[in-house]
Amino acid sequence: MTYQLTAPLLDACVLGVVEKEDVYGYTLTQRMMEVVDISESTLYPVLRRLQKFGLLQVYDKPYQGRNRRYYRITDEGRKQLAFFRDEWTAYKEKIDYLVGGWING
Amino acid sequence: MDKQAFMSELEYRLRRLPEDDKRDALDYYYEYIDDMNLAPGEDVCMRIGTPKEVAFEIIAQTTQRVMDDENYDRRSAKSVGSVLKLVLLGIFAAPIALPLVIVMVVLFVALLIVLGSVVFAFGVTAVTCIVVGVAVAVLSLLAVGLGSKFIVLGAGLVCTGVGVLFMLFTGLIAKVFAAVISGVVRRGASKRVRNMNSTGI
Repeated sequence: MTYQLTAPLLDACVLGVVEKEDVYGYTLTQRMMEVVDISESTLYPVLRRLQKFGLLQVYDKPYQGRNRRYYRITDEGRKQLAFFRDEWTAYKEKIDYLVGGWING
Repeated sequence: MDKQAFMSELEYRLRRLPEDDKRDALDYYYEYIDDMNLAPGEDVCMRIGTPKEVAFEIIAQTTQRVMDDENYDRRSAKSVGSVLKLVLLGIFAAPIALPLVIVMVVLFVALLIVLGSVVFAFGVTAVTCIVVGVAVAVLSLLAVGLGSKFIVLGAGLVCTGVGVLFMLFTGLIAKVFAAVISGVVRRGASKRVRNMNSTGI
């Protein structure tokens, strides 16, 4: 991947995925790895950070005699995600404008 | 490395984190490795990296987080000491690179000092020779008898000449040393840029 995923973009991506449904670490990582170039250890610090900021919440669910920690988006998280979406759309349009060469036309 | 070995090394590497952060990370990876459904004998590190790398990532982010807390959330200002501790922890837990950088910087400073001392020593020798030579040449007027006057004058001039030669030589080695140092700096800088390019996500 030529363009890098910076921390806020990663936060936005994770929030976007978790908003759709609650996930646990492994599936979240696998799902994101199908789309973007991250490693298996990239997401733990992101999840921890979002949790500390109160954007995600965790709860445990038993699975085959052990625990699985699920992440769920909070109201605060939804607000932040809405903000990230607006920011992303604005940013994308600006970059398209430059990369597309429309600034000259 | 199997799961057991991976987990115990990870725990060891995270030992200086606050208990709560450490527990959370260990639980996460314990569960994660279970979810990977590894074949018996399959190496955990092949997929998620070595415990060292994983620990470094966690510690680096924790440090970052503490700093962010300070920037965005002044009311819960944490002590500078705890940030400093985490930064140092990050440095010393870093995979070889950072300690190596420190060693390189120290070696570089040592090189500067040594080369600087050599140039300084030659320079002092040159100036001394010139000063003494000129002084002797002038004082030759005080020598008794014309023959002695010329001998002392000659000695003074020879001494001055040697001093001038030393001066030229000092200039030459200073130039060579400067070239060596700028070569080292340039190579170091290009290596750092290369490293930075290869560590992007």
